[in-house]
Amino acid sequence: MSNDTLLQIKDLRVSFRIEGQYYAAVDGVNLEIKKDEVFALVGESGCGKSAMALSISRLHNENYTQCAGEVLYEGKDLLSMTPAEMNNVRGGKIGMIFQDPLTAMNPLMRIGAQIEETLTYHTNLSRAEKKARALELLERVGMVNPALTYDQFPHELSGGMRQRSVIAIAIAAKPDLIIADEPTTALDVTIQAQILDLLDELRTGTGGSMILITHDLAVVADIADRVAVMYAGQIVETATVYDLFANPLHPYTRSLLHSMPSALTEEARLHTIQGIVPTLKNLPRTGCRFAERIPWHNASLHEENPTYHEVTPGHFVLCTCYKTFALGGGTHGTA
Amino acid sequence: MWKIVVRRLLILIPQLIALSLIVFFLAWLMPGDALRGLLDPSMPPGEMNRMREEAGLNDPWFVQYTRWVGNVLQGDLGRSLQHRVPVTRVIGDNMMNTVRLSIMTTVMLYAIALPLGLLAGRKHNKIPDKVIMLYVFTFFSIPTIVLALLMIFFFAFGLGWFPAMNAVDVRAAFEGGWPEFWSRIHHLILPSMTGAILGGTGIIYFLRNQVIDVQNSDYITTARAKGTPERRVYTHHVLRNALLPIAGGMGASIAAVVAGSLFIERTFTINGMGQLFFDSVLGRDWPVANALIMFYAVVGVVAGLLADITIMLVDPRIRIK
Repeated sequence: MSNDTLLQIKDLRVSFRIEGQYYAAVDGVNLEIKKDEVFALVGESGCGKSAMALSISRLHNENYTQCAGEVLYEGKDLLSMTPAEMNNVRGGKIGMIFQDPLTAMNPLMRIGAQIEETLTYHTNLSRAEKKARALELLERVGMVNPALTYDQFPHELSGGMRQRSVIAIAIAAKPDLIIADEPTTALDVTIQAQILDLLDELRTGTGGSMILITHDLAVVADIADRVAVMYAGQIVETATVYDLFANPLHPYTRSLLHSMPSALTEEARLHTIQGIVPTLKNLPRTGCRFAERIPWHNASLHEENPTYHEVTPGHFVLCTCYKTFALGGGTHGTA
Repeated sequence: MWKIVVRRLLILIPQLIALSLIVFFLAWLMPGDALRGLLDPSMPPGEMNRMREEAGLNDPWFVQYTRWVGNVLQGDLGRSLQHRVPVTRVIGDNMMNTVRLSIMTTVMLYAIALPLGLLAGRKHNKIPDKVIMLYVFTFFSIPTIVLALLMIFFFAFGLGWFPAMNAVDVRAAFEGGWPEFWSRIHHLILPSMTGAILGGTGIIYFLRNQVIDVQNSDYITTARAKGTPERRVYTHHVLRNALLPIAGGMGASIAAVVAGSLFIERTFTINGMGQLFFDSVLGRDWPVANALIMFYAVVGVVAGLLADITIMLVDPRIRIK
């Protein structure tokens, strides 16, 4: 593990119990998040992105979930920490921003109190200092009237303001890593842009890393440094943003990129990927998991046990089926 | 805040008028009247009608209604036809027993329901939850009288721990002071437990589902993600949110306890208003019955008011400016 690695995930497996049996939603993920980078995790709904994010902070209900593998934060395995150690990490080292700001805050607590709660567990500030810090945070996340917001309840704020408050909670204790799980999905488009700008600005201000989970590739292109594409619980491709957009390899990545609406092409219909992400119970556990959704499917192109191939330095892709394109074995136009 | 309370109090007025009309007509439509029970075969034929005329029972309904309301407003609920004393006195003699029973039942009710509901929710799908749910579903379907009789059979006759009837020991009541107090508590344990065990089932079930629901809500994940210790997540986030609707339902369940005392008083022969209600209905003593129905109705309406105020105090989302 190199010195500039903040978080290293080794062979992470997250399984959920369905009718008495455990099914892996995250199936053997290896990742490295470097210091000061924005790492994007993309994929369709149900690919295991959120399941993976929650397992980093161990926020799954442990009655129904099993996590195996290692999640090393600065070299220490989060998965084997005691609850007390884990509470130091949560909020203090890793801040989380969730998808739906409308439900992410306790409806019975004032915004100020919810921000101060983070400070209570991770700093030794006095009451007055905490309040001052909370007001400062509210101002930093762009609240027009921090003093007013401080005393308001979540239901008195708009969606965008609530997401700003959630961000204030997440960054209150200055964590080194922020995990943003689809932070803009529930917001309307103009607010989305503002929130993304805010996230980007906050990160460059404090110099921390961020894992950004999204299915919006435009967002990725905008602020991420590196990207991992996830499909059916596996990472199918990892690359820098530039490499991924310039030279997408895995057929799934290509399909995703191809499905982006664009003002530049003349196509009347938007490309969609055939089929749906298989449900957890029906996930193919062997071979290339995306195979059945590739219309030009040719069994000989897939590996029986897909492995990662480093095509160019830092650009990894799972399974040999990416060579389809190199071989000219099909295009999306005919798909 | 106070504006809302005042507005809510003003709503009480039409509610009470509507109630009094309903109560009056219920009694008015009941077959027979108080005098028919006094009918004597040796009475001359016109006598019955003369008595009815004298009692005002031959007047049109609105005359009877306004007379009744006018009297009620002056604190005169009429005279009991059975006991031949003012209704206020008849009820007054019995009221304290019902009040004591209701307070004791309510205390026991929440003492049982809150911890069990919270425990079941927290240990969802584990053994404590399953045991508690078994209790809930069993006792939810048992009628009051059956449980009351079982309680009497086991704890009064079998084990002899508690008295089976009456509200107080006559000797202790004569002595007064602490002996009387303890004797009353002792007598109230079985009846109030019966009410609490049965009345608690609904609250337990509701609270359990509430806890399960809140535990899986996003803001609990947020609270955990802040590094909040598990115990504090529970006390500061889950508990408050889960108890909210229970606080709102408190008025209704107190009203239910008071109304439920009807059967319990009957079975444990406690001289309370429930007992009195039975007697007055059976004896066609409509001034007493009316007054009691009116009393129960007022309890219900006031309980609703209290519930509204409570929920306004505890839930910031309901505070209207």
